[in-house]
Amino acid sequence: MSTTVTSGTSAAPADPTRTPDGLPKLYHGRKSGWRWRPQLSHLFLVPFCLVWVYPFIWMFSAAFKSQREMLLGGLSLIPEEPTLDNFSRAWTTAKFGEYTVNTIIFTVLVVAIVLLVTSLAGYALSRPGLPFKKLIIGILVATMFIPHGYTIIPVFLLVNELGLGNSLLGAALAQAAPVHVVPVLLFMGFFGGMPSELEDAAKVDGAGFFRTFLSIMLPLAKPVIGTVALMNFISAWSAFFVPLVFTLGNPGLRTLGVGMYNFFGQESTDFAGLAAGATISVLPTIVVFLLLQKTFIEGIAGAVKS
Amino acid sequence: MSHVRHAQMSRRSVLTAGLGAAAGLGLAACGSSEDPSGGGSSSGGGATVELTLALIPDPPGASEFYRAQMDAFEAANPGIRINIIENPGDQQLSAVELMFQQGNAPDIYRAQAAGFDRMYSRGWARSLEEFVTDDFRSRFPEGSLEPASSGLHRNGELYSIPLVWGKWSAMDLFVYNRSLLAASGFDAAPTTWGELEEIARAVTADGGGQVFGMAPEQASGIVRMSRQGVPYSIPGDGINLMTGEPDTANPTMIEAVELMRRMNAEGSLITGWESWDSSRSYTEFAAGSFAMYTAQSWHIAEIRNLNPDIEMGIVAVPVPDSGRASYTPITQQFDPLWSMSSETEHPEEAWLVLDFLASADFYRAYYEEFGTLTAMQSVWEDEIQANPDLSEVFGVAESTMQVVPNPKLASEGGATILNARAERPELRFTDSALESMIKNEDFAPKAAALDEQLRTFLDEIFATGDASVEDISFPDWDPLQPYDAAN
Amino acid sequence: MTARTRRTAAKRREHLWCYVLLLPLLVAFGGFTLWPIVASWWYSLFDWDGVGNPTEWVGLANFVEVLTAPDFWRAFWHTFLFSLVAILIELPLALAFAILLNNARLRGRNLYRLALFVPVVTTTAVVGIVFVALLDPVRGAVNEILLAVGLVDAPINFLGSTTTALPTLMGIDLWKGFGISLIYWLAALQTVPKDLIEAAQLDGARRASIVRHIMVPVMAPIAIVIMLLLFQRSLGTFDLVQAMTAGGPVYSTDVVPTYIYRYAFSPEMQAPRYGFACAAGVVFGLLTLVLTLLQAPALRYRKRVAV
Repeated sequence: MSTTVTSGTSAAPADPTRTPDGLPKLYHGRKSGWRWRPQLSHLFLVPFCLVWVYPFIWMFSAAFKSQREMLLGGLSLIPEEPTLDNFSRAWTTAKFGEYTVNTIIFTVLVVAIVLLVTSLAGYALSRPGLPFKKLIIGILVATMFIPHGYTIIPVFLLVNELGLGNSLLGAALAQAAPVHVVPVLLFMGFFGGMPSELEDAAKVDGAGFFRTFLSIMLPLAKPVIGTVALMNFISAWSAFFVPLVFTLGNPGLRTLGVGMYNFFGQESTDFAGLAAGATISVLPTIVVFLLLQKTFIEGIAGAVKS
Repeated sequence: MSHVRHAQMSRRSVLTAGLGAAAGLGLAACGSSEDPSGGGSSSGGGATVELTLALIPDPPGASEFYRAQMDAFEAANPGIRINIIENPGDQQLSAVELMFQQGNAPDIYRAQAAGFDRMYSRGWARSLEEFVTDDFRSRFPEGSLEPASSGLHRNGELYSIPLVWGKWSAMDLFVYNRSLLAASGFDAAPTTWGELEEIARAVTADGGGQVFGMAPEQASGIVRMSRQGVPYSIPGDGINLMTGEPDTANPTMIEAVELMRRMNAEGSLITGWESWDSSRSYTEFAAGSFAMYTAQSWHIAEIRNLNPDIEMGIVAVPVPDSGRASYTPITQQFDPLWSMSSETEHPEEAWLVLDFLASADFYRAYYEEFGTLTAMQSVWEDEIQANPDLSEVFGVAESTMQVVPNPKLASEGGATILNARAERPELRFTDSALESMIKNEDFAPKAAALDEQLRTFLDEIFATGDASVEDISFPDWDPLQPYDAAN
Repeated sequence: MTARTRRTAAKRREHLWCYVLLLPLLVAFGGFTLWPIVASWWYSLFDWDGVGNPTEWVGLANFVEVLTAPDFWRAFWHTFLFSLVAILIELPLALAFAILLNNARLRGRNLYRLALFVPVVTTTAVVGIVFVALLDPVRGAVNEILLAVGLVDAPINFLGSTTTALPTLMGIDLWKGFGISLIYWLAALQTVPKDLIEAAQLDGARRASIVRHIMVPVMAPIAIVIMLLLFQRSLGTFDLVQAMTAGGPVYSTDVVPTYIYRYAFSPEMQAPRYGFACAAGVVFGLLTLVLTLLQAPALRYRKRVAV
């Protein structure tokens, strides 16, 4: 993976007072003549990040330990007798394969719903002079600060009334709905910052309102789309409460987060199995983050800039 | 507001929250559950009837066990297929309730204790009265299936069948680590609270910060200790059934809390117990981190599994220094566990499954697989001699449990009072007791305040005329003697 | 005149289109956000356990009870503390790391970013379980290490003591959410126009004045957005507390969401007080709205610089 975030920085002059990003260096000992070198920060970052991810290292190692070794303690990060039992138990007995598929469907649905709803709305709200625009934005933002975890009962009843109680779509709707505000604002900011000549040109070409949006504006919004997609991918993938409420009664629809709890028997905890399941569920997000982080940062940057 | 198991379950309490949420949903949608599409997930018509069985795969290994048992059932009953749905213990109730709401209710499900009552009160349990045979009755001891005391009946009809021995689920046990006690110079388990305190102190001192005297088991540990000294209803509901009065401030009750508070302040209780979940006590005991605790019966097998060589002693819970003044209560013969859905489309077939789950074969297999004393005493009674742990458990149950008055069964007013009381968990002593222990504060003033609140609560109920103090007072009852309800 | 009417007609048509595009949002928002909130306001006026339809009208009794309940205010105070930690500690700390990790010459930046971000994507329940094990006073890794290094001479009862449990949870909450703040800050740093800085440097501007006159004005509006997002997240702290302590020991870590959940959903409650929980939710919502409005001066500042 590239280590640069923005293109065009590679040509930065070798000015020692500036980082290649063109930012002034924030660390340099002017008086002492001692100059900060970025590589020195490894001395701090490496141990710090190791401590930071220690819980994960511990969890991964637990995933390879025997149940007995896990329950009766032992601090060592290296399993006494490494075993893949936990993974096979997680994958087959606890049906993590099935749950993974469900989680993918659920996550894709959530991301699709959010993207569809918010890109349309964001574009509409970015048009200047739209009546009630301020009111709509005001209400959206205000509700962002109203806690709604406990409103799950009306939401559940609504989804059941819609006849979606037995589907991942119902759960995805419930999951997607409350997270609309930030993406709408992101899209709105992005579209609002587009030069109006672009649109005028499209109009001259005879493109209608909707076609302008679809064929010109939307493709340009890739960074925001990437950002919104990643944000919602992450939250949907690791979501627990909504999928629990909607899929607990329907084992065939359970997601990884919910399924992970199949490892909990009546009064005992299969810690090693849980660790294996958690490992399975966390890996895809790591991969997605690695792939999308550049777009993610640029997308947010692009959106807030405008 | 709080409950004994809260802190114990902390690790899993996101689940608990989920469970609660789902439970709330269950309640909320109760009115709208007459979904015509409701009913079993059965295939309907055709030669094969498919039944759904929602269960909890406990103890560890039960997934395979239940599948094997159901395979055997299918082999013996061609034409019936069993689809097993597994849920963790603390999600089962919510999951089943959600299944009912979403119109795919299971045909047979496991629901215990208050969970069963909830299912029953929503009309989701089907009476089994029409199916019961003499053969079925004859499997259980004479008189144990009396509607008034079986625990399996509601409104005079059979609604549930049990899995484990009634006493097994409600008994109080005390387990100790013989080698740890011996290392500190004690060759016998404590029999009184004073001895307990002394031994715990000594073991902790010798433990050097690695081994501790005791684990308190949250507030339920206090419940198990205190009901050797006061009528069970005091730690239970705050009411003394001998007088019908609030009695949290009973001197023996205060003594029990103060004992635990002292032990905690001295460091005799294993550090960190405040945030333990329910599986920690037996795993840490098996690991030898502490020497004694008031265990639950099913812990025994778990401890053996984890540490087959542990020198474990199983005895009765220590009694107050002034001597035993009460016994562990037997309020009903059995604990309800398996029920049939009121929405099943194949009641006949579902009964066959229930009948199988209440058969000697199944009970014996369960006992042999997990070492649990099952509801049919006859299948294991002769065999437990071969298992020292289980015979010790059996001995403790026989010597420390007695039948007690049960206001819920005795009168409608009694049920009214106790049900209303259950809706006010903040009146229970547990929160105040834990606060006393953790913050090292006097319990007596808190207990007195609780009694005052209870007084107000009772007076309000009495004022409605639905119940009276007679419903919760049993002046003839001697807590040292078995209670005869017929008397 | 005709040209003008044509323009107005075109405008009107465009606005109509806008509303068509807004429709999905309005429907979803109305059904899944607004209606549930309004419904909970309605429920809050009843003594309702959730069975069937609410019938027992109690007016504002639930609200009176919430407002006079010391437990509620204690939970609110804890929630507020979570917000303070997020804004006073997490926000600046994340900025420091963002500046460090924004340096293109730093090798392995992406690995560091990943390391700091992983906690964000992990289900809170798993985080809770792992940390409970790590922080255990008996054989928990953290205490073992602290003892071995000699930092403490007796294990710390992180989650079991009423004095340490809340700070411990706050630390873990910071750990869990840090990656998000970091990403936001990294994005904010991207918005600083490089050419402006270069020009200033050519003009011989000092570093301090570049920071003051270019970086601060550019980043301030974004900083305020980040702060608001962080504020909102910290108010909703629920999963972590529920997973690790459920508000205990002795309610020393109780936050408003766990308080509400206990009344609405706790399985140990024989009859949930859903109406009361809704009232607590409404009060909490109003309080947070007030707290947010208190930050309005900051928002106005954002508008001013943004224009």
